[in-house]
Amino acid sequence: MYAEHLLDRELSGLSLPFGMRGRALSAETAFADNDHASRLRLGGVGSLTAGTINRPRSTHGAPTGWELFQRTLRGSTGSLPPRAFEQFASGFSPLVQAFEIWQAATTAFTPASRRTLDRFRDMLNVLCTSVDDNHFRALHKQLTALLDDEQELADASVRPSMASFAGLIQFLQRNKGLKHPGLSLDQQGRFVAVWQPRNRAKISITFKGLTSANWIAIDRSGPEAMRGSGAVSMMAAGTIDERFCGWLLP
Amino acid sequence: MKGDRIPSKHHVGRHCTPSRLLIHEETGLITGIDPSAFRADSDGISVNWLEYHEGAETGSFADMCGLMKAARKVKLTDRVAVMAVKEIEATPGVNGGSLHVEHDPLDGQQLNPGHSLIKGVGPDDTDVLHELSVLVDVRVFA
Repeated sequence: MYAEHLLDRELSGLSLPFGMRGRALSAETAFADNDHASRLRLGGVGSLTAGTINRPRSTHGAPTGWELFQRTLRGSTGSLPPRAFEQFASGFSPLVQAFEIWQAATTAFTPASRRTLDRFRDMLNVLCTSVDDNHFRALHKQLTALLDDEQELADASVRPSMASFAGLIQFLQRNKGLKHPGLSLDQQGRFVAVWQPRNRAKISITFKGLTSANWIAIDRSGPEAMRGSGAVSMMAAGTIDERFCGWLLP
Repeated sequence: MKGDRIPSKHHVGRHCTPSRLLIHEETGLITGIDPSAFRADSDGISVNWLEYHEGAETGSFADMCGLMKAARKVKLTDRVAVMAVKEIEATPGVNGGSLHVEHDPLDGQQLNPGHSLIKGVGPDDTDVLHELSVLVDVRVFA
């Protein structure tokens, strides 16, 4: 009870973005994404009792979202007793992943004048515990190729979506063992993961946000064209038509 | 002449900027384009007729690139997506329709005598645009 009370009080004093305040965390966290607003439903906060704290570790030297969140909290609540902090933290253990995403978005949004590429690199660095090294390195290269030309993005009226990028990372994190996809951006700034098993065949997954994605596949390599499309479960690549599902594997 | 169909054995090219390219997972090299690179509108998809200058000494690809560069600013990182007209025609349109390519030369400030249009596809025809995107051969501007 002490920790819960403290949490409410301390969080209500924090300058958290997007309307997050203490127990409001149990409802939803909105993270603004340029013009789009993606809502990440967090579910119940759970009781603030001591327990095992799941603290992801960065494997790439960058602070994790969890570590950044700790710093944020400590910086704003200098008198917060360590034990209370531990109690507080334990209550959030199921939400670490959500906070990673939230914190990444927050970090990447500040200041707004930063280059698009830098903001997405920051986000990738913060989320790096969620993806394996191969995905991490490849995503860095791909972000550079796609986002390095700020003027071109402005000329084309493309505003890359952070929610979409977080969705991509979430998908890669939840579907271990996938071959890393090629990457492109659509006109709405959504990230599109593409696997090309051979020439004139590909499957694309367009990440519309954190929780929503569509797949579309085409094979024009043989005499008879094969086509398919549908919605993707963010939890399992297996929801893709079995004719094309294997294209995502190494 | 405006409205003439471009022969099936010919090719067309589309100017693509870096954010519209598909970047390979390991090499970081370009392996294709995103369907949004076509920027279809109600008239169709703007392309340039590769064989418009057929027979010219410099080669038709270089001539096509010259026309594109005259019409729009081209950066070193930009690419040309080349497609065979016969493959475009083999792509089904929506509601059983078909695709074809028409010559659509532009006059005035946007002077581009090789400009053409892929007809039968609109901005909302996601499946068709996706299918067209597998048919491209991405090249560096000449």
